[in-house]
Amino acid sequence: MGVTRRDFLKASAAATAFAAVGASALNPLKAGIAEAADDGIKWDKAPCRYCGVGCSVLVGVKGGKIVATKGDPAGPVNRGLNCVKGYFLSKALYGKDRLTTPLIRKNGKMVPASWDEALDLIASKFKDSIAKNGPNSVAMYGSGQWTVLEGYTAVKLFKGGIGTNNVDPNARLCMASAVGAFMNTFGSDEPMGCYDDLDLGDTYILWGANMAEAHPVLYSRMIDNRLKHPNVKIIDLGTRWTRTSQQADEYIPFKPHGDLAAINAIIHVILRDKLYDQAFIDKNTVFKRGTENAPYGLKDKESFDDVAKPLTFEQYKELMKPLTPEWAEKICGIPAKKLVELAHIYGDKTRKINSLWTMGVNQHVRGTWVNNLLYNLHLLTGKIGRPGENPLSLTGQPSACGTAREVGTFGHRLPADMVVMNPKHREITEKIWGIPAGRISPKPGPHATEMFRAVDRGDIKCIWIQCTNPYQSLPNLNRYRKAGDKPGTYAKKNDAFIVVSDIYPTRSTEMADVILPSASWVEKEGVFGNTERRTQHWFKMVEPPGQAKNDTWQLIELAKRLGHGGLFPYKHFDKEMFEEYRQFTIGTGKDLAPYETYYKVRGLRWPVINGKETRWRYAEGHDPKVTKGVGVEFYKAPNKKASIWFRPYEPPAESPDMEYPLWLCTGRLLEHWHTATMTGRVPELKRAMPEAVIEIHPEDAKKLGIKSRDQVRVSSRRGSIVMTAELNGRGKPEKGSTFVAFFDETKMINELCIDAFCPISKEPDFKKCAIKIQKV
Amino acid sequence: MRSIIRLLTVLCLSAALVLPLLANADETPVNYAADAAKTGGDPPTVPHRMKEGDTGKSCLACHEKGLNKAPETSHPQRLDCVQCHVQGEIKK
Repeated sequence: MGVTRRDFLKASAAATAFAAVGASALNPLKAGIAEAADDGIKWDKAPCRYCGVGCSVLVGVKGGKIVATKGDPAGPVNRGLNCVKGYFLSKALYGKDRLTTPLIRKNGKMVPASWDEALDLIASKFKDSIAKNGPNSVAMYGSGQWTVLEGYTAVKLFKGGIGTNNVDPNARLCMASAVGAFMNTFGSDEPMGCYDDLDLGDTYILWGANMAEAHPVLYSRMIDNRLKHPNVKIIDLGTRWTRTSQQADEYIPFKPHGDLAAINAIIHVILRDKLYDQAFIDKNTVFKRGTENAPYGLKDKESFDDVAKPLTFEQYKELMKPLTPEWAEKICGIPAKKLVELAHIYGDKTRKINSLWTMGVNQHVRGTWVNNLLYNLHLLTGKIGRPGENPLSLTGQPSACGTAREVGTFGHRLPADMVVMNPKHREITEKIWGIPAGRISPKPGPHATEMFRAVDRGDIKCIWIQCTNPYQSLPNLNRYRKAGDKPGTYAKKNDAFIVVSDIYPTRSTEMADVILPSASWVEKEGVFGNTERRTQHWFKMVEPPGQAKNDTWQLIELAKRLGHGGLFPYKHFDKEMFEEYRQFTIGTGKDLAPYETYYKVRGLRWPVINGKETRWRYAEGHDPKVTKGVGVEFYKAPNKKASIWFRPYEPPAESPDMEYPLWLCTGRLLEHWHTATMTGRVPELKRAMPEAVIEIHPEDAKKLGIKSRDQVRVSSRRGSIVMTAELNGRGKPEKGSTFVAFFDETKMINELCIDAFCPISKEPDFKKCAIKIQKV
Repeated sequence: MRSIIRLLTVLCLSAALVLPLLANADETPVNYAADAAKTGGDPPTVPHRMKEGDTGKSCLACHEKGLNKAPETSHPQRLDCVQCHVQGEIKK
């Protein structure tokens, strides 16, 4: 599988002309030179394996092993820089306990098996379940770390072959709220701006985003901008003082969930003090009100419809009148005066404003609403779709955009923003896939939380998990498993058949009936899509260890055994499949380039039209889909108008009370990535950050008689764990709040998290639940 | 006849467009090995204790000029030092 270097060299001559037309990061490969290095190390390019920033790294291979990785000086995202995780990438795949052979659970023990034995077992379980209980009794849980074609294979097999929409990615836990708001505001997913805005803007307002640790290379790019341009201001709004706050020009603390009130109050002042851009509003926007008193997702199978009612600008202004800075101050704790000041910064016509956010806004029981409100700030002031001033939701995974969103690996989605509920979208998809009309089910599949609830209830009998670790990363974990025989171990709760493909033993392989060893990163060919719409390709550079195989091969082997092998008839697999997938994007404004184009460039930002990438969508002079003479045009939205939504304040799902008096917020830190299955096996990273601790405010600690480094029991209504307390450490939560990073598989803080979610995006709120702490 | 002329015109124009671009493309070949030689690899870990709250400026106090036997940094313009240099083993 995959294109060999010789195939590639032949193809590259043809593709050179294409890339040369517009790729600003143009770099036609001359393989001969790269292979001539005298230290015997062969270098090639790949996007980093970890986060959504999408840094380009140079990978050095010698003797069939990755021996070094470096920040790629020609990489337009990172310009030679990496964060510490990227520098030590070469060690991430070489942990001692790498999975190298399929394993099958027999009498409670995992026993080595052949691929045929493992795949035949999976196929028989799937067939059996489909025959007895229908196609909706099987499911696939995928990943924003899947390559584009891995996600595409899964969607095609499940939606186009098996006939179920039971496919959802871990990206549901990560940026579904951003998706929800992109769709209901602009009619098309993914940002209008790009990372160039980090160099070209002068005001950066961070909403609950610890960029210095979670998106370090982008943070450095912003700091560089400030070093060169002293008028650049970075304002960090957060519930916790972080390394980001340390280097920001201003830190403004707010109470958890206070963003919903604060942004409304800022909008109130923008309207009150006439800081808005009337001409921009008239030409480009409409006003809407959605369904309020929305639920929190705490009941199984809860359904919710956000029904839009049109508003006039006058009606909208009326509705916003009670949401004053004084009202908001009581909820969010930001002084009214400061909120007025922020409104005047957003409204300052001499300032190029960027709003940046990530999980603080997206993992929120009103996440789609907060995204909507942030867009309102930019739409009302007209600071959008222009170089240097845009809102940007920062993504967490390397291909949450490229795979989960663009390919559409969600329960309700199809490629290129299409949905299974729309008969026309199903028809287009069935045509490209060459499958009979009516094969794709119109019923959306369950979102991640509901999918695992369905496994727990016994509605889903077989689930295959690839490239992610849900039994550490889902909220309210204790619902889904029970204690194992030995302390610190876990076991399945019911007889659901669970398959897990991964590269190391994890908390999820612990639940599995079959474990499949996967190839990772440059052990296979692949494509990732990053936060700024940049599609990046890499070649296979080394062989996977032992019998490990890539996830696409695993899925197609199941497809063959289920009689759906005909869906994947490709000879030159990656190229032919990508070209098939690309048909979905052509003419939609999400256009991708021919596959070979990506061989040579350090990625291209879609839409790629006439060979040129697009830096700013909807902007005349940058996006060729925009009508001449109009400036900005939201051409994907109904009537080309973006929606300004009225979204009031509604409380969190759970707040501290007498019994559980403190807030718990979870998140990431610099050294480890997500559940640390890779970074936890890199000695330098493990030594720098060996365990998760609970950060407590010194005054709260004093009341409880807790000193730094004391062992404490942390409990919520859902679980209880013992860990080390830290006072005045790297992060400093505000009084009444605590923080725990979720990477540590020996201290699974997600057992305590509430499984409440945004009713529109279905993204859980990992940032807010009530806990108590006792000294052990 | 007219259609042949039209076809020839199109062909000539496409060639005129593509050829200089090919030539241009050849002037900037990718050389990953050369790119790799331009940049550093694994950033050294920090063999001494770091205080929480230390900033790039605290690091540069010694590392900018190499005071107190500290290695001199090649990149004092990069201010978020701990993004790459993490706590290492502390030598006693």
